[in-house]
Amino acid sequence: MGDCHYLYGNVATEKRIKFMKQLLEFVGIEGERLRRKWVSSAEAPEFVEEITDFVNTLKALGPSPLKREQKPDQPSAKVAVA
Amino acid sequence: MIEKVIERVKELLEGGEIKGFVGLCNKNGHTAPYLFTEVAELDHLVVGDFQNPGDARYPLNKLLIDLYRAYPEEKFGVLVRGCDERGLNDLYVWNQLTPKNVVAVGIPCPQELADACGCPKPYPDNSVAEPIAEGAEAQDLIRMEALGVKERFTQWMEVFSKCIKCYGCRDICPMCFCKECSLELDELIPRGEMPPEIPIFHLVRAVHMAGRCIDCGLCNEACPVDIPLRTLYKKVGDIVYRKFNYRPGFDKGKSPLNVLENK
Repeated sequence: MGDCHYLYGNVATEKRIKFMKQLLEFVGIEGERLRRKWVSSAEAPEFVEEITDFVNTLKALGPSPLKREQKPDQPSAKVAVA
Repeated sequence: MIEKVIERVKELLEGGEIKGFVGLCNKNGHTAPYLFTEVAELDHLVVGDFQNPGDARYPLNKLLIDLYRAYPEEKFGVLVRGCDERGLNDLYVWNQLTPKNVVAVGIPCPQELADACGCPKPYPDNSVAEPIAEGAEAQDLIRMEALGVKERFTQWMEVFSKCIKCYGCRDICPMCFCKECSLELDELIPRGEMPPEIPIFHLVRAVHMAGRCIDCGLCNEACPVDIPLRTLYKKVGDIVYRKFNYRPGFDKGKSPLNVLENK
């Protein structure tokens, strides 16, 4: 922490993600759909591993509840939740 | 209680301590916010309650911000309840007001209103009278938290989908003082699209209330389609308190979400 290219970027992110996970849970969207992991640009294998794991988690959770709320004429929901 | 308020305001106006008093005025059967500048006008001053608690509550602090921006050198008085006082404290933190320009004249809320609001502190520290009610639990929040994640989703989506994008919640909010608002950014909230995309419209506002909402509940009262916004922002406040041990309006210092140090 604090060792971020964007100075305090990771500190701010850490706080926001902590907060956001709980807010999502409260409005009925599983907190596991939001994930934060620190990976440097030189750590490709870690990145791949993390994303694979995230995809598996999401597959286990099933489609996002927001999908059902989507209108058919909208190509994708513009939300920051996977 | 009203006599005590009038007495105090009279004292402040006559003594020349304040330029004017932002309070509530009843004329022709209507109650509205008003800037009292003459002692003679004080006959029309009311504190808002007639038959029921909270008959008339207005974001008087919001008017105070406008006055402060127009007359930064002058000092004004303002009528405050417990929530309004929390609002003042938080507005000082956000540099939207300075304590040296404000004289708060406080009134305690009745228990009935405190219970309806689930208010943590239904009385201001700076009050013309002793507290007449105790802090109440937020029953709405407790009820909502008891539900399962799927049920909460259904309930929230149902109420969010009623939104007519009137911006009433933002416009009445005493803590919404930004000159530019994310809810008007085309990239986030496309203009002319009705209803607004849910839940993103409401979540954007909820996130911006983190470390800022003082739980006055005016948004809830203003909403024409009865979205339980207060419950949502109560949760926001609850998360910030649990995770960061910070309560806007109670704690001095900036919101942890706005402090860029590793705390």
